[in-house]
Amino acid sequence: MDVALDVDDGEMLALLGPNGAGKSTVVDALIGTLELTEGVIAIDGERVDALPPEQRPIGVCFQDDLLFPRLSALENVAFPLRARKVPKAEARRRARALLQRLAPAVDPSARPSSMSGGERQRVALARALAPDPRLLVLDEPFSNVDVSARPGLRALVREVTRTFGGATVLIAHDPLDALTLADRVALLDAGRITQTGTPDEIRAAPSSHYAADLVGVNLFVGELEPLGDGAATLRTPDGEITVSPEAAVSPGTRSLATLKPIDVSLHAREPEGSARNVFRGQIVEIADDGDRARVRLATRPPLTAEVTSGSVARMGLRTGGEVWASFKAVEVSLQIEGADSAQPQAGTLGR
Amino acid sequence: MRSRTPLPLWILAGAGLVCVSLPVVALVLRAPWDDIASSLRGAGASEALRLSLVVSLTATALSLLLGVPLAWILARSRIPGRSVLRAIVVLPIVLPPVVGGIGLLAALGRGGVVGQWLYSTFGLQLTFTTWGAILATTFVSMPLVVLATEAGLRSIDRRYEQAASALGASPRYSIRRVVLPMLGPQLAAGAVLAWARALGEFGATITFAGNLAGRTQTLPLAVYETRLSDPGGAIFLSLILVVLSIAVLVAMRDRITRAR
Repeated sequence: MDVALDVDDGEMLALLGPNGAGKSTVVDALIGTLELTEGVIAIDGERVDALPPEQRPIGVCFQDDLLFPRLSALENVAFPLRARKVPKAEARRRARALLQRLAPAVDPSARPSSMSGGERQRVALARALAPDPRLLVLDEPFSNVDVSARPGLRALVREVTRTFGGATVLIAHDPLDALTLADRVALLDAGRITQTGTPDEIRAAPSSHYAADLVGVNLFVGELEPLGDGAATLRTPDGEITVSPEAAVSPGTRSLATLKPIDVSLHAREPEGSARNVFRGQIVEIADDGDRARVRLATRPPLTAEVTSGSVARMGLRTGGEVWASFKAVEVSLQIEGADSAQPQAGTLGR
Repeated sequence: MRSRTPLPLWILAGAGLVCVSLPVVALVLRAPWDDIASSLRGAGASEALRLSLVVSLTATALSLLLGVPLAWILARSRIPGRSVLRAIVVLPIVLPPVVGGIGLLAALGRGGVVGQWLYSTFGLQLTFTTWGAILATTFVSMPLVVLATEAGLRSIDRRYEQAASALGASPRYSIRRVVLPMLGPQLAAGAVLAWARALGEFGATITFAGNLAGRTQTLPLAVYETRLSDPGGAIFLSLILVVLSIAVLVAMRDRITRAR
């Protein structure tokens, strides 16, 4: 493992990589479960790598929450405070306030076994934040959470990580979490950071096949407007696309949408056929590695298509040229966020 | 569908049941119920019962105090020769208690390896004292606590402890607040097993601590002493042990089957 990362206060860095890339090793090194053989971990300019885990100013949210089974929700949140010798009444007061804010649907006296995955992760987040850490480590916080509870938890994570006053490292397996939540993304592969950048930078210009497959997706965020025939229009600030929701949606529903570049077809002339999304635009960039080419288009919304290098030559594609692009509504995968998650509120979920 | 059980199975199972229940039934049948009061008084039942409770409960507490740390070392530390250490610790379970008693005498008797020094330096003598009986009982009970606790520790996900320390808990706080509560059911099971074993302890106690009424004569020793001189009294003393043992079994079933 050889990893160099830095994060600012109020910033979230996502560490994204496949299983076995070394994400857990980074977490273990940060929290002190694993000793460094070489290198430095510093928070606010002070080295913490020689400190035992309990003396590091770090809050952690574990993948499978690891709430203490014999303690109530309140006792779990108060745990890091009590461990730091905060008087009992004070610790319970602060824990109660945090629970109220982050997990209002949870009964403070409930044991973890009686909570849902989403509720447990909210309590775990409150527990991680309780001692006012300088660094918050979120280890795949959404992976054991029900799909329906994820948007609310995501919104909560976005809100608290911006406001708690310290820096956040998000360990992510799902590219979408990294791309939508983080300020910067670091790609980890086989123990090395292969690329670092903002989500947009990484998405637009992934530095390897692996990165392209992982994060090189078209990402749209907007509001849905149902059409008569079961399809819907997704309005984004950069333009509209037609999508095909699995169930009926109400107007104004916020949604994330992803589209794989390989599902975008390019045409020299206006295409005929069943694709409901047809755009015309200028080619901004062609990243051709002699095998596959990623073609970035200045359409509204902007699109990235992936074609074979052979097609680039055959169609005579060049930067600055005009081209038609099309994709089917059903190729777009939607993640409905719900109408109210535009303003993340702790109270809006856990239903 | 009714499952048919073959007749020979019924007969053997019946014989088995008679084998374990007949002695207890016989105790009830043969007890001289008419003069229960004088028999109990004559046999020194209350004295023996009190001593039995003091000795068995103190031995259980000692077993927990010493056995849990021992289980911790066996389950968690990486010391060499751990399997040998475990064999030594659980040896009293398979050893005849009277051998344990002889060993204790050799170690802690007035002329024993350590006992000699204890006596000459502090004037401390364990043989023929209640503390001697407690020590002998702890010797046979503690391994049960060690076994139950070690199994419990191994079943606890170590990541809970890692989480606790990452959240700011010192190892001691983590043990007190996280591990011990999770270990609760196994600790309770170990304690109940140890207590049951302590209540019935005979061989090590009579060998090491002797059979002195009011000091080392627990219920089993009292039964042994009165069985010839006062058979009726011995039966009543035995029945007290039966009742206590049934209470232990009920408590144990409750503890072991209780969900985490």
